[in-house]
Order: sequence, then structure tokens, then C-alpha cells
Amino acid sequence: MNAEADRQLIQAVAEGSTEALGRLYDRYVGIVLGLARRVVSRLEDAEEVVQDVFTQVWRDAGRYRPEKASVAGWIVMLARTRAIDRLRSRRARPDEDRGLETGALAPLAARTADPETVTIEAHQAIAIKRTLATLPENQRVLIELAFYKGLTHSEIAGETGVPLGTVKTRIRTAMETLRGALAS
Amino acid sequence: MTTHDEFAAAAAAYAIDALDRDEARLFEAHLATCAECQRDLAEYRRVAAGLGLAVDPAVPAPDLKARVLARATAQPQSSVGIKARPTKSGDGPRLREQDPSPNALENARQSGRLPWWLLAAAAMAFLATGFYAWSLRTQLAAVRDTANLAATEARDTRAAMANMRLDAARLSRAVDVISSPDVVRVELAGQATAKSATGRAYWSRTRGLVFSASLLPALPAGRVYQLWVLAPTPVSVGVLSVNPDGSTSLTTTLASNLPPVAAVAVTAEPGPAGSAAPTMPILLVGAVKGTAGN
Repeated sequence: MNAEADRQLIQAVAEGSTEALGRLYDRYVGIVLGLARRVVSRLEDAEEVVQDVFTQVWRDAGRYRPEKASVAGWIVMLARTRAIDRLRSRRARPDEDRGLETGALAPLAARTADPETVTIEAHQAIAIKRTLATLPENQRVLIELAFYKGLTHSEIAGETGVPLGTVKTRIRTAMETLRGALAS
Repeated sequence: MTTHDEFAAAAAAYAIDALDRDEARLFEAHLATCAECQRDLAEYRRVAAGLGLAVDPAVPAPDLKARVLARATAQPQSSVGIKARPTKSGDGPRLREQDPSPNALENARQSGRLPWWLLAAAAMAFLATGFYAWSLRTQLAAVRDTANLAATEARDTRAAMANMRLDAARLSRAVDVISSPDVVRVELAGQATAKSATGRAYWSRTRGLVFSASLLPALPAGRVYQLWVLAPTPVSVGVLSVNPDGSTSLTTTLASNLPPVAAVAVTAEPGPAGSAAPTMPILLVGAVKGTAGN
């Protein structure tokens, strides 16, 4: 992630440059597709998420405010939002996908964070990835159900049988640990 | 949630959309007036972005870029973006130069003929009106599309709710295994003709086995993938139903008297029922390394 280069590319996209959109695609398609596949599993759905994300980048580049969000943060949270949306719509046609990856309940309404207010630097992303891998299994699984499957506290409690209070405590503890990694 | 401490605890969950709707509304109301929670939330959103970036990148199909760019750039850009484009500043003055003068109009009326520039201006006005009407029709069609989409989404949501109930039992079994205290994670690596395939299993001695794999290559007609646990002798877990993209998953209980599982493996066997004993070569295998921590 090169933040300044990203900002210049977004500015060029806002001015109608297809080439700049292509360069942003080259920089981020791997992570967008990887995240989408983590959420929706099916390749066709994941490719549609990629389409949705870069279409929105093209459409909304003019509204992007660099002082509020890093391009990486914006794009990755767009990808997560679109992937959860698609997971939800896929559930209307479950016969096409019986995979465990789509087995989680999806939220009925979008509750995703505003992707335009997320900032993250490359070293912080690496620290989060490392710390996530070291979380106790029973915390990491709950974080994954929330972030990659779009489940709320009570949905996780209802589906896992883990008491609601325990779900809340484990998710908070895990998030605090991950937050600590930002400063490292 | 009534105290600041409770709201502070909610910020972490809010950042990953884990709050239930009512809790989220309460938190949002508090957030508007609490600088400390706003700071906390900004940090936790960084964590959320980090979780998004923590996934392993995937390699896109070679033709995906062309498809994505073609469809994306066919869309109109937001007005802010359009404003940023350079404009042709000469258009205005040129039009004004062609404003009809009173003398010219008077001459035309007397001669009974309209000058060429007035006809051209009329034609331009006609075209502009036509374009405006076309633009309105396009917008109306877009509004109609949006309404249809909303109706479709409402139907999808109702269907999704029905399907959720059907899937809940299966999911519950899977999560029961994954969240059990004695769960062990097993990473499986592709072998032989399935080198690009990967798999993951969660084995709990008390609750069963959850298995998923991706990128399994298509098999010749009449052959099926079969899942085994080595305990340490091979015990069939079942035949796998593989999606067209090569992904598969299976959740099952295991016999309570099964000896400890040393490895999980997948082979190709004669279909549709599979074999009593695995046929070499093994196509996907992973060893049980130790119990996961809590």
C-alpha cells in the first residue's frame, strides 16, 4: 500500500481515467477477491463482488475524501460490505451453494461500518494479520463469524450455543487485543 | 446500555457490525455526543479494515480485469467527479455570438425567410429538448429499476429467512464442533493430481468433524472424492459433494469409540458410494498436530 500513489490514482479515476482504475484494480484485486471468497466462497459470486467494488470506486471516486480514509481502508471495507450483501442474497438460492462457508446466518439489514471513515497503514494491516493468527481459537472463531459472516452477538450466541455474555466478552477481548496490535 | 463504560465496550462490536440493531441504535445516539467513543471507534474500524486485509490474496482469472473495467466505466460517475473534469470554456461565448440581433429578425420577417443561423439554432433547441426528454425517460427507467430491485430484494429477504431456519441446524452442528473445548484444526495440502487443492478440518473427539476444501480438480466420470480419518487405520467419513468450482464441505459426527485421529485425508474412489478402503494416491492430507488453545 502506497498511500500517496493511491490518492493520486483515485483523483485520476474521479477525473474519468480508465487507466487509473485499471492500476487500482491491479493493486487491490487480490485482496478484494480473497476477502470476497472468504465471505461468499463461490468464485462467481466473489467475481461479482470484485465487479461491484470497482464499479463503486469508479462511480464514487469524486466523493472520496483522503483526509477521512485511506484508499486501502475504503476499498477493503467496500469489499466486505458488498460481499456480505451478496452472501445475504445468495441465501435466497441455497440450492446453488451448500458450502460451509455460506452456512452462517446473514444479517437482514446492512449494518456495516461507513467505509469512508476507515484509515489503515500497511504496517498496521500486517500487525492485525499476525495477531489474529495468535488469538485463542474460541475468540478467533467468534471474530470470524462476526466479520466474515456478518453475524451479530445474539445470532452467534443463538447458533453456537455459547452464552451471549461470553460471546460479547470474547469478541471484545479479541478486538482489544487486535487494537493493541495497531500500536505495535 | 446506559453508562459510558457499557458504550465503550460496544464500540469494538459496532466496528465489526456485531451489535444487534437496538444496541447499535443506542450506541449511535451516544456516539454523536462522545468524543472518547468516536476515537475508540476510529481505532476499532482500523482493526476491522485490518481483518479485511488479513485474508490471503486470491489470484483473479486473466480476463476478469477487462470485464470489470468495461462494466465499471460504463456507469456514470458521481457529480463531484464530473465537476472535476475540465470543461470547454469556449462553448458559452460562441453561443452568445449567435444571439439574433433585432435587425436580423426584422429583416427575416420582411423577407419571409429565416436566416441559416436561426434555423440552426432552432434545430439545436429541438435536439436539446429531445435530449432532455430522453434523459428524463432514462431517469424514470432507473427509478423503475430501483423500485423493482427493492421488491426483488424484499422477496429475497423473505426467502432467505425461510432458508435460514433450514440451515440453522447444520450450522449449529458445525459451530458446535468448531467451538468445542477439545477442537483441533487440521490443515490439508493437495497432493499428486490435486496439488493446488487446499482443505481444512476441525476435529473434536467429543463432537465430530467439520471439513471444507477448495480447488479440487474435476474427476473422471464415475469417480467421487471420499473423506477419511486415519485413526490410525483409515475410516471412511463419507463421499464428498463437490461444487462446480471445486469447493466442498461436510459436517458429521464420528463414532464415540473411534481411536484418536492422527490425520485427515481425501482420495478419489469409484462412485457413487465410494470404497471400503482408500485407493492410492492420497489427493489431500493433513496431520493432526496438537490441541488448539482456548
